[in-house]
Amino acid sequence: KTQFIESPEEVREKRRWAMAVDVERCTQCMEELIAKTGDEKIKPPCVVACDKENNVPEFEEERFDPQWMRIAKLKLDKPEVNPKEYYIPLLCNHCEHPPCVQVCLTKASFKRPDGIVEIDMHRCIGCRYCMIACPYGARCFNFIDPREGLKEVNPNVQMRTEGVVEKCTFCVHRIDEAVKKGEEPIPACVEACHKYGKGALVFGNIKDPNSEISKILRENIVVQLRANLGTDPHVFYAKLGGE
Amino acid sequence: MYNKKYVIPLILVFLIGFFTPYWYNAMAGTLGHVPTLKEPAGNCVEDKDWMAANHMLLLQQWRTQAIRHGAEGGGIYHSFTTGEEYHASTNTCWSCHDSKEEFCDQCHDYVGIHPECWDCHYTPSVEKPHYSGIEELSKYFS
Repeated sequence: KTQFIESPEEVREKRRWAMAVDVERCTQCMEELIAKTGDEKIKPPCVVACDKENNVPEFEEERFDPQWMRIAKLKLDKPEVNPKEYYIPLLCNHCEHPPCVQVCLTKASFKRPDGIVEIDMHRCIGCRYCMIACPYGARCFNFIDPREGLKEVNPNVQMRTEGVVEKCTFCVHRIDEAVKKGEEPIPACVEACHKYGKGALVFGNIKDPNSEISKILRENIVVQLRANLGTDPHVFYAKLGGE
Repeated sequence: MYNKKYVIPLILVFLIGFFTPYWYNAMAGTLGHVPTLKEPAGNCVEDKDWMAANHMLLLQQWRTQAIRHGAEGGGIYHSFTTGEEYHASTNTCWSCHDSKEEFCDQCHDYVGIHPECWDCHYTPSVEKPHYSGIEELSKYFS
């Protein structure tokens, strides 16, 4: 039997990964990109970086096109109060109580002790219960062999096969590597956002009170998506509604 | 023996059919063919004979460790032969065995099994450019 470096309880005490989104900056970045290219459906740096890093294929038809991260355009429901439109990234929320894990028949979906919800593709039978259960629509099904839609391959991340469900993993391979080396992990989307975008995304450990994300959560009013469902999602949206 | 004129020819036909693989290999000139494996560049994580028999068990353990227990340090594998630490990933194998055709496929084709590993996992035989990192995106965004 293998002895691991830390026990699950220790990991649970020490690390809980989460992401914070500065909606104001995200909107700015998207509006600038759209003004520059004139394309309403342009993919911002975060999405492109995610696709390339995680071998997410691209297909012409939207129904079959898996997306780990999407940009949604939203309006507040009272335009007379605030007519402004916002752009927010939608990705897997890595809930504290993930409904997708509860419904998984084969226990392919599971939650790691550090809070990342992951899929074991070897066990996934493609029943898509998790896609129905997920209130955020974060999961995609591989209708077509992803290799057909890949132009470049990142050897560090496995490709998927047709007939399995996939979703954002917070770039779990980067996290494991960084934790092993004792560095601060940074997912591909966050890296791209800081390099080519406006730095709207912040990733970090909310169990560490000195981390940047802990400060953001303390100092801002943050919104969780569909918090009334009790899933406790860990992607936080700050400055939503232009406060 | 009764029905001799039917039984003996049918037995002969059965024997010819039964030894078809033998005839096939004898005519193709591959009789007694044994797979030849390309010598790997470095030392294996475990003993060579143990690996030949149990590599799927090892890969299965790596899979469970790296996926299910990744947060607890499951990505690190301790070899019980040498005691050294290895990163539990198929890319670790590719660092020594740099050709799938000349190593994995040799035995797998010989015994006629088709593992599904390569439906998803990267092999050096994938003929697509590598994604090297975030710097590449500067051609899209400046």
